[in-house]
Amino acid sequence: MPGEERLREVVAAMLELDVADVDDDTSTDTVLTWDSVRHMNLVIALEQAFDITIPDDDVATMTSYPIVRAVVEEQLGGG
Amino acid sequence: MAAADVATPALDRLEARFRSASPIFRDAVPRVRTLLGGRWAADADDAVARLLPSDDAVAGAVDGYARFALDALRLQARFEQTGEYRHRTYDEVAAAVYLDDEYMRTCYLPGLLLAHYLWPHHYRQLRAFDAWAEDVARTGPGRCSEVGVGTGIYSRRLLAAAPDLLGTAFDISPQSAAFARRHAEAFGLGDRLRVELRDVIADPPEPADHLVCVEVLEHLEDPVAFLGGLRAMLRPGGRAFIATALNAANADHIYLYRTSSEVIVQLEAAGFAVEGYVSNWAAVPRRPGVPVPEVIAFMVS
Repeated sequence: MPGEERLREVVAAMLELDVADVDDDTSTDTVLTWDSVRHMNLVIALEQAFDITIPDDDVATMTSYPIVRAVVEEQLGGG
Repeated sequence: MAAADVATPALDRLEARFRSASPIFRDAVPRVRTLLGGRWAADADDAVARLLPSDDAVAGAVDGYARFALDALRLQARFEQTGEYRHRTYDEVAAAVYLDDEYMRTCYLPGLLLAHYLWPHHYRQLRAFDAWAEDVARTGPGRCSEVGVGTGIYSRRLLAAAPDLLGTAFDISPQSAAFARRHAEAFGLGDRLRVELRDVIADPPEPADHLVCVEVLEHLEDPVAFLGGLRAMLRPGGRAFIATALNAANADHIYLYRTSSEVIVQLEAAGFAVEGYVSNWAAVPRRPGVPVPEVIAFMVS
């Protein structure tokens, strides 16, 4: 997706990871510090960085980097 | 067996479900277990065992809690930016929350029930209530009323602590009334708690010896008028436990209290004498000046 590098930077910053460590294996199963507070910080940071609104139903299901990317893409009109 | 090592099979089941179905809340149970210890664990285990007895019930509650808690976190972040709650009128909240039968049954009420145990500031308020209930128990036989019974947790704890009391609980939500009824029955208190669907302001009941009203004021457009009606439900010499939330942007909060003194002014204007209060914050402020959700309970007469 366009802006994927920015997406990885936001995810890395909010989950306190190195950008290089954010890939398709990044998920709540592999990142043990991905808790509810960091999750909500991630949602808000994504909304601000990409000027989008993430629907409530998607907030609860964004449990991996591929899903995060798909949700952001959809809200940018590319999904 | 040390208190911290008490066996908690139902709580363990809840924790396992969080880990598998809602991993961002995987620390919800162990975090509070570490913070509040074995007494909390035994109490929470008892509630989960009685109120969520099947795997399906646990699964529904975990899903409901996750939605409830994420919604609250999101609204709180918005509140930090705007300084205002999302909804301003009861009709807006009713349409978004109270009239949504499925949301109430599967999300709101199970989520609220778990939040009483999993949010330390809410559980600490329950412990303060338990201390108040012990004082009430010493006054002997009598009648207590709870307005806005919600999940039924406060009436249940009061009746368990005070075996000589009979209780009546009021709510305007059919789902809450049904949930509270089941809650009392699950603890063997169904014959001592009558649950009524009633708007106590429009249709006032007989005054009671003791009164409980927890986290109702912030759901109202005009809590001052409501408090006047509440005062009339308490017999002279009776005591009441009235709690509300400050700076807490839940989906159905309308009236924004920013400070404890705002509530005290309203309680006193309604004719209550404030004996004291207990306040608990949800967290330390993220930055100086950022409002933190707070629950505050007033002991009044």
